[in-house]
Amino acid sequence: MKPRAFFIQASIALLLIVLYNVAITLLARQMPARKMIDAVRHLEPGALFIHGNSTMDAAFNDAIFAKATGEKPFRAALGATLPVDHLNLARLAFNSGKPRAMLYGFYGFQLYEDPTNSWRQFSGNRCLSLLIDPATAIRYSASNSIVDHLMIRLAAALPALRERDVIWFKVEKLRRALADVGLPSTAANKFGRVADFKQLVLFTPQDVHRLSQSIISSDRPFCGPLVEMFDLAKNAGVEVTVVAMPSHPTNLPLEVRSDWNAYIAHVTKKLRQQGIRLIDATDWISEEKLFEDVLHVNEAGAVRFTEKLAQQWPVSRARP
Amino acid sequence: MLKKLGEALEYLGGARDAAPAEFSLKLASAWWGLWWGALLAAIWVFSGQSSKFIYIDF
Repeated sequence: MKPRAFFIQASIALLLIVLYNVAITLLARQMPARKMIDAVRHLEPGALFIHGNSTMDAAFNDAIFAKATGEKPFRAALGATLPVDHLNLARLAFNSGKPRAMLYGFYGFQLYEDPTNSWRQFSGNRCLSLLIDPATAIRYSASNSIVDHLMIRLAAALPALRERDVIWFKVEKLRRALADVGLPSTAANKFGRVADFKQLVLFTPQDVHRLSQSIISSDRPFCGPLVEMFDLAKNAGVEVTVVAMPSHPTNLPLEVRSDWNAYIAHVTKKLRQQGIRLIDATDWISEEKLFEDVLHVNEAGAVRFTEKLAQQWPVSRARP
Repeated sequence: MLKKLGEALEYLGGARDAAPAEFSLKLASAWWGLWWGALLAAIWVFSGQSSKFIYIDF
């Protein structure tokens, strides 16, 4: 085969790959991360920025809270996001329409979980970090790996890498549908399959004891992205309230409650030093029937959480 | 007919070196570019199955 013929074939193949990237870009316009970024760019000044991961997204009821407090909540909490993404989204919000305050929900020991190094983690909703500020993603997730550094840069530039889950999720949903043929349907909610979330409860009672003791005795700072996010808020004049999100009754059994309470007391003290309030909602929902799975409350649970949060809100604001 | 189709697919998949008699596409044809592009896209579409999906909320 002559080189010219090979060149033509390679060019046509390359053109198809370019078209594939264009198709991904068009499909990705409906992704929650993209819609969230657009919404945050048009954030109304003075809003209450509701921030965090899926535990906050599932638990917060905008209408109930707005009616009870007179606040203008803007829900920016997104499933499957981590502190690096929260930092990026908060920075975008503070630079767009400045929110009056931020309500940040965390689960477990997330305040102290340092980011891991890997470019692959920026998928699904986490592509928002690649869309907003790849440099921050690199700073926290490629600090000692030139490969991860380059791949984050490449993924930020190429839709087929950055928003690969637009297609992959469709294929996975098809695979799950085919796997369920002829079998009882698998329990699922708006975030995914109920059984899968058990894998995300990453701490055993022994872990709760070990992590609580370690965090309290070392008195170490929160993870880097959250330290930066709280500093940004302070500099922007945004009042921050942190919420320890409700825990499913099976996640924190009685034998670890003293460790957990000591941990929450420690976090409260550390946040107070920065002028940040903590609302401990760990025990607000004690019935299993008010949860969708081991992490997320259902609609009735969200009503209970939001009503309690609204009751605490004016008191918490008055006493930092 | 099925035999011919099978032979053509075996050639496309690399299971046989020689093209079937009825297979008229020459190696220098530009159409092979489409074939390779489609294969690359198909590989990419299905390569996500090695990922551990938990959250699928869109």
